[in-house]
Amino acid sequence: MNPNDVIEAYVIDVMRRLPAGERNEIGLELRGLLAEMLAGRADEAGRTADDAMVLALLRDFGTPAEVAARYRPPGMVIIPPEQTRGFTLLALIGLLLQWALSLPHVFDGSLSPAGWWLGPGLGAFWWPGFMVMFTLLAAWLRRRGWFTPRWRPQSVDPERIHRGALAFGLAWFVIGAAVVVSLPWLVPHLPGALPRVLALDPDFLRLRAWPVLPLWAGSFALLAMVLVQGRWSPLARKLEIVSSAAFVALLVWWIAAGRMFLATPTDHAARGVLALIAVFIVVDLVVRLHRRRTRIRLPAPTR
Amino acid sequence: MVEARDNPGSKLELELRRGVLVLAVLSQLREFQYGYSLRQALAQRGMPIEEGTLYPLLRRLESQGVLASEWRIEEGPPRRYYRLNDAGEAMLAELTAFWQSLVGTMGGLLQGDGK
Repeated sequence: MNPNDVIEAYVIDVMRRLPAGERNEIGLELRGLLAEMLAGRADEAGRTADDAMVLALLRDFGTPAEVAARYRPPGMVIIPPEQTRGFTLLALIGLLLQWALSLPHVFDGSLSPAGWWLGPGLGAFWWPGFMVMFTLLAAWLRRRGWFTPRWRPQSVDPERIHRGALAFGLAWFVIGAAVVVSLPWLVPHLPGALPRVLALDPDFLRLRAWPVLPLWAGSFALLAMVLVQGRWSPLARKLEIVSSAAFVALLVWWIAAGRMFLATPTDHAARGVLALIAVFIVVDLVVRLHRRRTRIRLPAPTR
Repeated sequence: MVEARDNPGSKLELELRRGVLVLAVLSQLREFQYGYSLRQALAQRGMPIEEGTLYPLLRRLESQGVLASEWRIEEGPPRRYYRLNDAGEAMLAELTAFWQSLVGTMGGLLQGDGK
């Protein structure tokens, strides 16, 4: 091997990774530099340059990718460092949840392991992809200056409520609860195939549906109390956490214990929706508990 | 590099050195120099800099409009020579004044009478 040929091959490898407009100039300069560095090393060693010397020089100089990176300006930041941990956690949790929901089909024999992997297993990767696309969009908006997040003192008193918003939410709570409670009487009077599609399982109605009523009533009373007081008291916060946990337990029981609807597709869809609601409540609960932990504490006294 | 990673002191020294690199390079470009000769000039004055860092820095300074460059073919391979242009001279003067003020401030702080 001729040392100059090795340098030439190395420089061409670097040039391939450079912007077309600067490629030739940088390549020419780099080739001259490496030739001079090699001559310097040969002088120091008191012998002519050989293969080992040129390879050692190029190894010390860096891989072609590293060298090309030094010439590139810092690129657009897609995930800012302070968001990397949250992004990774959210991506992993989303992936694992989807796998946790779809893997039972392998164990109950309705899906082969290969079928699971080629279907829901690989399909679950839509979530990190979706997150990346949104992160790209956010990075692009930040770059254009259209989206500059600013801190606002909205959480100085996170326990204070907006009475109008809460009253509006409570009104919809009552309407929604009334519709759901009256479903067993409403469904038979619906037009077309709807009574058959939405028919509730009698066992579900008799044995498992009723606990939702005291839970809803309790939540309503709690929110009404907060509305009157104008803020969340520590007791109200604790009751809210207990109520959320109880609601998740009820949803899990409903999903696991048996049919809710007589029609199988409706029942499957309802379980999926309830599972999603349970996941959202759990995530919200975890986030709230985590935020409660973030306080400014006095340091421990030192002697 | 391994040493810099293991020893926080070395890493901080490296960061300090990196901070003054631009000023050091500009200070040696009042006359035309090509990369390799510039590196040697800096090394002889106690400011060694890796070629892999110096060359991209020269190109960046040129693209920022503070250096002028030209190719010369003399003995050996073609060489690109760099020199401060008018904007570069102005920037060098500005950075030099700032550096001297910084040295004064740091001197005071390090002697414990920084007020």
